[in-house]
Amino acid sequence: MSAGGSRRLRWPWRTRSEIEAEVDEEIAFHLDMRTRQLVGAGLSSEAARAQALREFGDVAAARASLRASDERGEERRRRREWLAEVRQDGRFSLRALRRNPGFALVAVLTLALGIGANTAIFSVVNGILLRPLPYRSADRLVVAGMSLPDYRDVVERSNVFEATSVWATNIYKLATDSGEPEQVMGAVVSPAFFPMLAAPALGRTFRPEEDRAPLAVISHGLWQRRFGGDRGVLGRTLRLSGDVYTIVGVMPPSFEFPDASFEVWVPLGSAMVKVPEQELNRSLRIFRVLGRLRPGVDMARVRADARAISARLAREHPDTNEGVQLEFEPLYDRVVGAVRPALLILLGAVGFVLLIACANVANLLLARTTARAREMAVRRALGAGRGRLARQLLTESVVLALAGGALGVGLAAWLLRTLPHLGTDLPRLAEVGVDARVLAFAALATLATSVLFGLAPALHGAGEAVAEALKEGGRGAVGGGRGGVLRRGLIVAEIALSMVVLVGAGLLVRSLVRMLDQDVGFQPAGLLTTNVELFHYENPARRAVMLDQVIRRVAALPGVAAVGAGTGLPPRTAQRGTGFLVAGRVPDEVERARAYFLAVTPAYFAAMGAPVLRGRAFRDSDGAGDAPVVIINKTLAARLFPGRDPIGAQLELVDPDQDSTWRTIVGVVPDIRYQGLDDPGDAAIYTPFPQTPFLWANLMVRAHGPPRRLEQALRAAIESVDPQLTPARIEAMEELVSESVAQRRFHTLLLTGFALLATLLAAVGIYGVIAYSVSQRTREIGVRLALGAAPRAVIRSVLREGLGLALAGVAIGLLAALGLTRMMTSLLYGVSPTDATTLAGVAALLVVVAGVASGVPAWRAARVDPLVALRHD
Amino acid sequence: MTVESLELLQGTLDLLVLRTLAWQPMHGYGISQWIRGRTGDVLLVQDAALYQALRRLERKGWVDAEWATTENNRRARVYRLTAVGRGQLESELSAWNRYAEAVSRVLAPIPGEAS
Repeated sequence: MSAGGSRRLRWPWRTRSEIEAEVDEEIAFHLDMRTRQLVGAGLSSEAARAQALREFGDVAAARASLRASDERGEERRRRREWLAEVRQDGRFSLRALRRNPGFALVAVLTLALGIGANTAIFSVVNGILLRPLPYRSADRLVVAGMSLPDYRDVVERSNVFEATSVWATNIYKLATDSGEPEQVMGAVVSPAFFPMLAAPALGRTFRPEEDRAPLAVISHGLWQRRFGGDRGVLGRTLRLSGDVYTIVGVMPPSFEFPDASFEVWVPLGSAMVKVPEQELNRSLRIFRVLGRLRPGVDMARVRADARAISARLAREHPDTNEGVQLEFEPLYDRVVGAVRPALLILLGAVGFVLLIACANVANLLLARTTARAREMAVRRALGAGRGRLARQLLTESVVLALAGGALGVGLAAWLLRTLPHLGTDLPRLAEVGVDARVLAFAALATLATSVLFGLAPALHGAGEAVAEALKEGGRGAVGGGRGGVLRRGLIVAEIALSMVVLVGAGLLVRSLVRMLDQDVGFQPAGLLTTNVELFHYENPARRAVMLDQVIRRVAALPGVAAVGAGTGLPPRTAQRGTGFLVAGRVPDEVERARAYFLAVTPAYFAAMGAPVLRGRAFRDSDGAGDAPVVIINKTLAARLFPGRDPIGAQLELVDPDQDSTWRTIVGVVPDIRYQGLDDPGDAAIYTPFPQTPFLWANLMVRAHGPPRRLEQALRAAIESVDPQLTPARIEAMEELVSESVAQRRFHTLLLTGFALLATLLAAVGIYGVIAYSVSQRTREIGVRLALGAAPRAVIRSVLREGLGLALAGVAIGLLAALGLTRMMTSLLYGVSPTDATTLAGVAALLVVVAGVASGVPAWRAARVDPLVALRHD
Repeated sequence: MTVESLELLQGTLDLLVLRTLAWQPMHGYGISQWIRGRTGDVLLVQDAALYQALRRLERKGWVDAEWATTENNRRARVYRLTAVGRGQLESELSAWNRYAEAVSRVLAPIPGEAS
């Protein structure tokens, strides 16, 4: 038995029938040999066969068992070989990349930027938009604004809710045993509030019987900041605007209700005891209601229910509820609704950046493929299959993508850490981080990009056309042909994508500029403001007196140009609204409409820098006992007295808190945008503070020089009038206005950053393609120069190539932008999504960029030495 | 003439096959004949079990198999001991010898015992 070799040519894997055949053959061989031997020993052939079979044992069982084990063995071998191939591919790839470190570096960095940016933005989208809110049955929670009497009616008459609670907000001056007093946002909440939302991280929340008790639940942030995270904080006390509260619980960091700025919660009852009239005031709509829907109830039913209740209330209480519509919206919309469009736009934009990055890397790979054409052809000749070659080239792409992806995730993690420091007040920022889902996204993005940019070059590299490279003269069909079309196509796509992102960014920039240009109705620069709490003074008259004293004391400070106080704080809020009647006119719909209602001191408008347009400002002689007067703003004047002089007309405030007296209009002032820069402007009615003393007022101090310099003096002055009044926070109006656009500014900045990144990548792409094309045509250029062509002609022809690509890309990008920017409408201000200036500007920018990117190789081409070029291969 | 043929334990069969292949590469039939011949038909080797043993040894890497042509121009699957298999054979042989020696020491007659 010699083991002489006839090794069967191995088509990789044996099929099942082949395995069966081999097993059968082996067994047959054995049986035949034994039979023959027995025949030789004298038995008949049948007897011999029978004995051989007997000796063998159960042939059928053996056959089955051998087949099974052979099949398993084959499977194992197949897997081992595949693994070995993959490992080999990996090794080859690393070696190939190491031979070309420059290319590998550029490719990996490009991919890292693309994948990293995408991962970062996806983390934000995941944490803010995709994760459900951290509250019990968060998708069943809705919110609305209304007054307490309305709330009680809703609870009684509505049948869509499983549970409801109500809360209101307050600004408190917080004081603890240690540290300076500071201003904090707080909420007064009904007993059902916390059980509907979440459990505390430490301690407990309020029991139903504790509704009037001076207890407090604090936020995680406050706990860390003022109490050092001390676990013994329960039972300690803090002062909120002078009143002592005992801490009974601490909420977890993820609890941001009503939003992230709220740090302390106290029982509703404990606050209402001080202002019992607010419980009965049906038109005081400062309360917020949280409701959990019954199972099976949807938003349509909730809205119908709300409409019905609103209509009924309007009938029962026409003076307070006429035209008032109760509106419930899902809590999710309330929390993230504002920021959702912007985040999705950013996600789209950053996706485009990744596509551009992929296109660039694909182009790089295509260029390298042609450089390695010979290597590929040789390997094909040596027997490597197309599939195998393609798989190996794809492995290189995967290796690049993995490196880029790993780097990208690191980049994303770093970016996310610096995000909070950009000072934006994104909701749920605490929940943003690189978690399992984000990593899965990054892995998916990495895989997808590797296929995206690697597949075409791999197929191209392993393709038939490459075999041509073995021919004499080298390059043959490789430079142009299908490879060239692919590369040009990629560039056009890149430019189109860049165009879209740039247009988006451009529109946002214009919106921001428009917004900042808005006339807010007053002069924010040089203005300092602080909240003065007057509810310590039971007597309303005393409030006006104390406020006046504060104003006088502050006015006496050096550096103060004017001081006033009013109960509205732009750009945040005007707090109160009211109905009104005009004397001599039959009340109709227009007059039943509402207006902002503010109480102000005489120098208010002067301090705000909103000069009186007609008539006069309030004077000291407009005191509590004097003739009731009002000042109205331009919008209201135009609405009520178009083309006429409103001075002297009489107006009555329709508000349960105010007695019905006719007040004389004595002045008209400009519109002040109380609700932010994009406040469309509404009617406003001003009364003299002594005639309508609120429980608080915002002091407006106009400084001669930089406002912040007055801070210490201002604080001291107020304190000297009454230490209880010491302000917790003094703010510069300019900063407030700037903050109000902070989020918009952040989004604009981010989108612009992405747009510039996209453009840069596209520019690099164009440069690469043009430079490559020039290098391919070096010989041709050399000939032309030698034959006397002017260098300028060479430059022009190269530029034409680049600009041609750019124009094609811009045209496609234009169409795409026109279609896509529609989705940005909610983010725009004062600019249409198809704004011609922006489109034209961006197109021009891209053409210039393309020109420069093509210009460099063009200029180089013109300086080619004809002799060198002619020898170039 | 048949004598009482003893059934072989699986582990012992593996050892026999390894030892047989240490002598020279063989196909399955040859191994079966060889063992039969050497034990004088005392040990009963079920051929089916033999082939299963050969597959087992292949999986463990102690034995390699290849199709070859015999003198009669028939195709046969020839088995061969690998280097690893050779080492395995040595260790199992010494284990077997120790085992046999220990057993025989217990079974040996004690001086003075009635036989």
